[in-house]
Amino acid sequence: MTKRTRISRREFLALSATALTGAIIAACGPTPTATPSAGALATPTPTVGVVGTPAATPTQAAPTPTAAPTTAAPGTIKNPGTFVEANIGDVSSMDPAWAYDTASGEVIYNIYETLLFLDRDRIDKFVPMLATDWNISSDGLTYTFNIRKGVNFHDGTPMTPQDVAYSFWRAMVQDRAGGPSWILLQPFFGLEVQSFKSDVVDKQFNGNFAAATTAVQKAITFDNNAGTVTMHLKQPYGPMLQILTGTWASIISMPWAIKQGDWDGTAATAEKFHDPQAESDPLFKITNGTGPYKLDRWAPGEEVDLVANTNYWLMQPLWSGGPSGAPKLQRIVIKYVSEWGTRFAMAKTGDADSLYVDTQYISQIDPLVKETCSYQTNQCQTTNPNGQFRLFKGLPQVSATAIFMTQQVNTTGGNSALGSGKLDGNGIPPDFFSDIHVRKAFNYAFDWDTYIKQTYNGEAEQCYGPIIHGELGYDSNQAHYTFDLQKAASEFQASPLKAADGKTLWDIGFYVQYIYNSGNDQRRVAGQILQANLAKINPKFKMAVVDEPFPVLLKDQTAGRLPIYALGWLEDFHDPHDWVVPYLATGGTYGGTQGFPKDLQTQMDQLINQGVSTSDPQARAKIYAQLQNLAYENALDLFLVQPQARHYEQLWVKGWYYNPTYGNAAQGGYFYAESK
Amino acid sequence: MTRYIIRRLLVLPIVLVGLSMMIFGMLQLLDPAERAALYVPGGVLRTQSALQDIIRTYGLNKPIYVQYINWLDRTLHGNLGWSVTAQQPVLSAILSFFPATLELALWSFVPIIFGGVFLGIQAAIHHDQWQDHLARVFSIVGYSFPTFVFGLLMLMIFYAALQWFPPGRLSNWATAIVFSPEFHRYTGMNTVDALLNGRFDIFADALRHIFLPALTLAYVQWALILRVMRSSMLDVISQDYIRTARSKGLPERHVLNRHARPNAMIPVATAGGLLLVGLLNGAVITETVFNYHGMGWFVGNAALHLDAISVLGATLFDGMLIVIANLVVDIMYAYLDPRIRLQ
Repeated sequence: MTKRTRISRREFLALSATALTGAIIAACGPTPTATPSAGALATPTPTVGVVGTPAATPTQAAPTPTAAPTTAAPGTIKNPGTFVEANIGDVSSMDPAWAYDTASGEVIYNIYETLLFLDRDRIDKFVPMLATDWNISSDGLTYTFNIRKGVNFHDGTPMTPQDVAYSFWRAMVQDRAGGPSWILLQPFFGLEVQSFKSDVVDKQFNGNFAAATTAVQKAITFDNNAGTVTMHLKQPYGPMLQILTGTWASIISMPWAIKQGDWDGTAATAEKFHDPQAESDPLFKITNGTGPYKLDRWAPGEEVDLVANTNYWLMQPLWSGGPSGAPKLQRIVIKYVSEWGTRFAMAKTGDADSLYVDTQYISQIDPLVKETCSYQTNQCQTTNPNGQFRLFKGLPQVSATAIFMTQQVNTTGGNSALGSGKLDGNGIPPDFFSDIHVRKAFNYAFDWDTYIKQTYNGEAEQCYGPIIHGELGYDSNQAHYTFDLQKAASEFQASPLKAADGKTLWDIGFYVQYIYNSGNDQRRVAGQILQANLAKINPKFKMAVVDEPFPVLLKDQTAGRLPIYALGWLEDFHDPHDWVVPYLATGGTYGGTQGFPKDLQTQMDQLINQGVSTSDPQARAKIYAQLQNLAYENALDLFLVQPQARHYEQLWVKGWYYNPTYGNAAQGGYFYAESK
Repeated sequence: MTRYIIRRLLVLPIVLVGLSMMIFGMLQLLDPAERAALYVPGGVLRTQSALQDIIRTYGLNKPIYVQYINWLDRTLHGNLGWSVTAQQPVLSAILSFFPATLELALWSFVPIIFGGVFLGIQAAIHHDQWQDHLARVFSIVGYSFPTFVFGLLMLMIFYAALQWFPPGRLSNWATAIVFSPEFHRYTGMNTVDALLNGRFDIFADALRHIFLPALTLAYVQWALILRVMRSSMLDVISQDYIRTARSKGLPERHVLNRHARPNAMIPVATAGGLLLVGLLNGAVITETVFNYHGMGWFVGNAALHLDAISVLGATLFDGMLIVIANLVVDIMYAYLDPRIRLQ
């Protein structure tokens, strides 16, 4: 008897039909949902309410479910106990000393903890976290931290002062290329330090890695018996407490790290663990923090799953009304969904509790917003009674965009961005932007109001200099440029630049290429606004708006080859020092390639060093105000805008607040404070 | 036959080395600073020295032959390098994303072939009748529909509105089970693994998630198979031997199924083979729209970020698939038509 191995067409059709039926039955199956408690349902019905304080409105009725089947039924919490965030991007590493991006920061903030933390939504006030208190010496050179007792890592081992010291040593010695370690290195080894190997080991210790590591260990000492960690700074460092709240300052367990194959903490072996690539970092995808959540699973590019740390140590709130005890949300799922339509559908069905919304899609989701709230007061206004989302808008971001003008452009090997490279109507000379009249004219030719309205939906603020709103040294009354074509024309006419035949800039005109990174529409529109206004001033003023892929732009920018270009900055830590260095300092990411006049550069460098080395906030504010004014007076850049973000969440989400320094603050933030 | 297969397989390493040299050479046209952009966090250099540090750390300024030899050496030792965009070794990325794509390919390929062949035959035997017109319109509409439009449309109707078929590969509750120690992941294909673990609830959930991407892929590809089958069938049924079979009094069903269809299937085998390779290489748009992380999503993302090592690894894998698929198609020719001999 032969074995029958073929299937007939009929059999196949029958199997297919079975599979299809199975899919449909599965599709119609129940989805885990739960009916919330009365408190959770108590969404305010008056036009003004308070988010996260349902108990304050006990008489309010539950919202009437809408008939529309296109959205999750109001009052029914989908996936109770699990918070799902639909976002873009992905974690680059779970190692706090390696990671240096907002997506990683969001996850690390919820797993690891730092000595001190920011006071809820405040960005300039600290609360003790893994340190119970601290003392700063009168000369600002010694910081002593009393380390909290009774805190356990996720693996159950107790946290000790040695773990704290080791975490800082490791972060500094590791210093991976392009990583965050420079932030910790500067207070201990000098403001000029950007790299442990080249600036500390090679320059300060003649290439002796072990000696440099020993110096690191002397800079941060611990006493397990006294329960203290002491930091010995090279110079007073104004933002010191701020940098200790960053993810790079997270505390890890030393015995656990060693067990995973990481550095054993001795100077002799340190070099082997310097500058690891992601794959050779033992802590790349594993975690062991002290925080409210533990890493359950990281599927790169897909999602990160966190589970509640049921043995969390925090029993007293860090701030008044803050969370304490075990986390309310049992599971956090951060899904990385690059396609907007998919994220939107996930939110509509209630499968996502919060989501990232690109600016261009705001008009699609806004009609579904039920209440619009203020992040400062939590007061809400009902905008659509049948809506399903809560919106917080006007969230100030700690980032800014600027148009940079290079005063001495690198022309090695030719440079098409300069056109002919001469002032002949078809190009500009390499030092075109060294003329202050030209720089001022470009500033006066920019229309901020139109730009903010067109590209940011009105949700951005004009920058008056490198220091953004909310930072020390920022003054809302600071003199700044406003759109004025007449003034722009006057500045162009006052320019001493002349063509070879003696014609003035006004008579001969110019051609220059404005460069922005491909795909960035906001920067493209900024260029187009400037382009149109320059042409209005004088048709001979021609500026081409050219996009370059980011890698090409990066190469040209670092080589100083771009005469005028748009880029942005997202702060590392909340302090004006982190703004004036990239924009104005010798060696700054932008200022370092712009070729500022020597005298001005020296003056700015001195002020920058003075500002960061001063402890008194008032004295610091004056110094940074001076720098801000210097940037204005010299029209160094065309400072564009500080954008504002939006946060969309399901109505059942409670407890979210906005602290811009958290990773992905506008979508997720600190999940410990949230519930459903 | 065996010698033929061995000879074809021996060509594989040559093809792969040639392919790798070509891609490596093309990528080296980019400046080291341009390739370093991949490692710049958040798209902004935080310090001026960072770019040079990155170039040094990743050896981007070494001579091209040194970089290639290093890569080849690693590859021959089973290490295809590190994928920055997938945050894991390239080989591990391929091994984790390929089962998802294979699963999707299988769930869409079977309906594509059977649906396409069935409709193609119907269109041919009802040449210029309403069945023929309907089948052609149906398939041409699908072929002309941009995948992302059709995919989003499906998503909006069957997920956002009806909540029947969600995106992704599994629901949160199912994900937690599938990645728990109790669940054995034999193949990485959720539907298959669920059955092997006896978890029909997970099978149903996986099926629910794969339904829309499979349908999207199937609908846009039906036209190809339908048209190939239709024209091939039209050609075959006009042959003398078909007329002879009919004149012998054989039932029409017998004539079509036993005499016409096997011969008409040869072009379908060619088209189907290429189609399957295309599906196995990943459907970038479909996978992106449905947040279905397979090879298409992986390679598309890597290419967007100039992740040379990932692109290289994935291309080699694709090259290998193409060589093997072509070999399988050649073998199928001999099976479908005994007159064809492989030499």
